[in-house]
Amino acid sequence: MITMRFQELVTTISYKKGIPNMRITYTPHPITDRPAELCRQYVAGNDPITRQPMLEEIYASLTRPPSEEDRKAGFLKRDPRPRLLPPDTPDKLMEYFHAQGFTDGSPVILPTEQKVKEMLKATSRKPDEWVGQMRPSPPHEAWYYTVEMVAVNAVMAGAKPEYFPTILAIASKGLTSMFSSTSSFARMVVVNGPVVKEIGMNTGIGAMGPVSRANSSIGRCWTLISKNLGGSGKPGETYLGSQGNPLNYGNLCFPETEDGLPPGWNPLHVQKGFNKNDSVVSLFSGWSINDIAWYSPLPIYDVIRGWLEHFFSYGTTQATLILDPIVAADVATKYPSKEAFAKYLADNTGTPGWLYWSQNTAALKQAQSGVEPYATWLKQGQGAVVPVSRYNRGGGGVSRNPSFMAPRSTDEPANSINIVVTGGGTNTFWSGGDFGYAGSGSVDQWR
Amino acid sequence: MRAAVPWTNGDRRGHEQQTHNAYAARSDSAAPGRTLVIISLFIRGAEAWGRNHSLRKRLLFRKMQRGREALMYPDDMDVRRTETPPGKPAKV
Repeated sequence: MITMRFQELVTTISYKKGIPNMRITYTPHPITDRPAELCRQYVAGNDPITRQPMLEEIYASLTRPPSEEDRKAGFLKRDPRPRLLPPDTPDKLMEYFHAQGFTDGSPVILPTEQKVKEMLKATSRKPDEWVGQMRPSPPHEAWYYTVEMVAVNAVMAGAKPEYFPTILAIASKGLTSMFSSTSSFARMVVVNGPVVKEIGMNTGIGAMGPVSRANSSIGRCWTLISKNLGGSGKPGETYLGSQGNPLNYGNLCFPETEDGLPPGWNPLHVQKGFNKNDSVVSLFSGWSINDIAWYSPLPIYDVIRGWLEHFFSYGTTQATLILDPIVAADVATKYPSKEAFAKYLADNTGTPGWLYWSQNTAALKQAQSGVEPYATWLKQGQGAVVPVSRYNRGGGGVSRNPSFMAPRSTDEPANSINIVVTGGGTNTFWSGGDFGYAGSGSVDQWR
Repeated sequence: MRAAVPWTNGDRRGHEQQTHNAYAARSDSAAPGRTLVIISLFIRGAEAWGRNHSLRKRLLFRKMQRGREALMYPDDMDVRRTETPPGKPAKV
């Protein structure tokens, strides 16, 4: 049984799993947050797709013997994949690329043989070497791809050949930038190490904005790879984000400003176990980001703590702070490392009452039964802050665990707060969002 | 002008041909269900055993985890959703 909105998805997946005639009963959509009485009416009513009574249909599906069609078995053979499209004019080819969904909606650089060849010169890896596999979400099939296939998409994204090892490092992680969920996921990629200066990534003013070819095209390429090599991005089938996410265009691709780190603050890739001289991409998964400067008599670390306490988004149990070097320097006067600041934030942020009670129903029941300390917390009202951190692992905070949406490292730190420093130091700005760390990859492996 | 094909059609080594209809095999017998339960219990037992022995844990636990993932997402029943990628032509 599934809601009618997912008809395309479930029929394609059942076909892919070898059950093309799977018996499916549909309910009206949505059912999330709908009253129980309405859901009961749905069950007593008709399947909105087949127009048959739902309960009778379920009974028939479970008891009807398999038909001849159901019993058919066999094999499918995949069509061979040509390396080149038929010759045509650039204008017609561009229209073809748009029409087939090969682009992100904006024009791309047409991947001629010559341009792809130039791209491939930037790596010692062979063109037919497998880079990785990617799928839109766990139920979908993973697609495998080669160095040459990634090179084609790198050309399309407008990347220079020297960016290619960084792009391969991202592709090797196998994480789609357009995860298929009804929530509209975003991704982020932070680049560290010598490669940042080698390829001219912008670590200064506007580091996260559209002002650098390296930052922009590397980030854009992740989405083209996800669509063309990872099978993602087809609305209704391999992409279900209800509103979509504008961050998917460039995937928040920026380098850490390692020169701007306060003494004692390690670069992100060193925090993740790499050497300082390694070149590394670190991938994050989340939904949204705030851009903030709040001029207050309070120290800036307390302002950040206050923001984090009341911050609310879909990914409410994880956070990444992106600090301008000026802000990092201010924070460093009190906290000698990123880890110390993250610990302070995780240990000293509570959860708004309405958010805590809406996502901890077991605690709510205990509170209503008079069990302490829940009962006291509940008496303080929905607007009060419950002294439970959302960011400490196993701390009893919000129970939703988004780990299925991105692979998590097995040696996770004690809290889910990551800190990155970037920007040009023009003012005390910082950004915060619900991005969680999803893994890092070596760029040097792909040179 | 010629342009390179930007997509992959899901080609993978040794997996060009896959079962088309697993339903027939499944619907006639409870055996697949029983097999899954037995395999699942075996994996759980092996995990518990592996957790108590560091060498076994290293050697076996990961293997069992992969086995569990394979059960959850059985790739060898993983026929392409269509014969071509979404929105992309069968032949160009």
